[in-house]
Amino acid sequence: MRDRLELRAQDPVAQCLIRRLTVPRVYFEAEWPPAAHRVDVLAIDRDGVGDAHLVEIARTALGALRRVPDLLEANAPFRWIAYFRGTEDEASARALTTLEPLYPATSSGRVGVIEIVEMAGENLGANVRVSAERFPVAVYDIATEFSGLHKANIQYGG
Amino acid sequence: MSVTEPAIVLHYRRRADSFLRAAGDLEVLDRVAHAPAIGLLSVHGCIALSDAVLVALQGPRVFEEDHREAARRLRKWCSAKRSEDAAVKHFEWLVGVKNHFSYDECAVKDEDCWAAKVKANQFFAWCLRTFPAVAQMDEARDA
Repeated sequence: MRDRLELRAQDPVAQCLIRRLTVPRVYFEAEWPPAAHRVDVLAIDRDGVGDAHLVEIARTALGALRRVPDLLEANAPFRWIAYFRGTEDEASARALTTLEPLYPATSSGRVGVIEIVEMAGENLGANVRVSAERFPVAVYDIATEFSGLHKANIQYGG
Repeated sequence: MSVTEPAIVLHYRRRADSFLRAAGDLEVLDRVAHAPAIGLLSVHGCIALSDAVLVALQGPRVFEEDHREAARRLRKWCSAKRSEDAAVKHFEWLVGVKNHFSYDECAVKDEDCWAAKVKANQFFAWCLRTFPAVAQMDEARDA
């Protein structure tokens, strides 16, 4: 069962991506094809016909870094991990300084990093710490089909 | 649909994105304080996106001060293709309130700003979904 904070973090993480994208469609706990890779947040840019962004959220930095290998195998141009600021241990702090685990071995692209912050009034916010870089996959057809078949949690079209 | 003049289309799309995101950033910062700027950026974002779409469809545009002509051209294309054109009315509304956000003596109300942002988002969503070739242009490939 997911940690309540991880669940609450879905919306601020989505808002963080929305600020960087153009009228995206956002899905929580979505099963992204082709291998039904379940992600915490999926944002498809440009009203569901643009680039797909996958986000895995974890309570700690180490937990988020453990999701990176799965993300490196995923089929989307932009991939992100998100974790709560201040949860880094020595190993994860080092990894997030060198950024080495965020890169694939044999292609371009980089997994981005989003920090979730607890603010006054127990509100949550999220900011990009490391920008994601594009992986060389074109999945516009998959994104368009997905957005046509699934009801978004957040969308801007009429 | 194939895109004519991809570099020019990308130029206008990039400008449209910039205006809409700036409007969003100002909204987060303080919607009431920045209401006229949010409204005006929403209008100009839609003008830039309509430019992108019309260049993609018809080639380089003749510069027109009257942006209602762009709306007429979008409606004409939709009519010819039997395509849904409901969101064009949002664009027409936005073009109609451009001077209100820019020059009018009366204050811009919060609801005017809110309406401009919502209508801009809806026009963007319609444009990008109706013209996916414009939405899916690649910065690296088409610049």
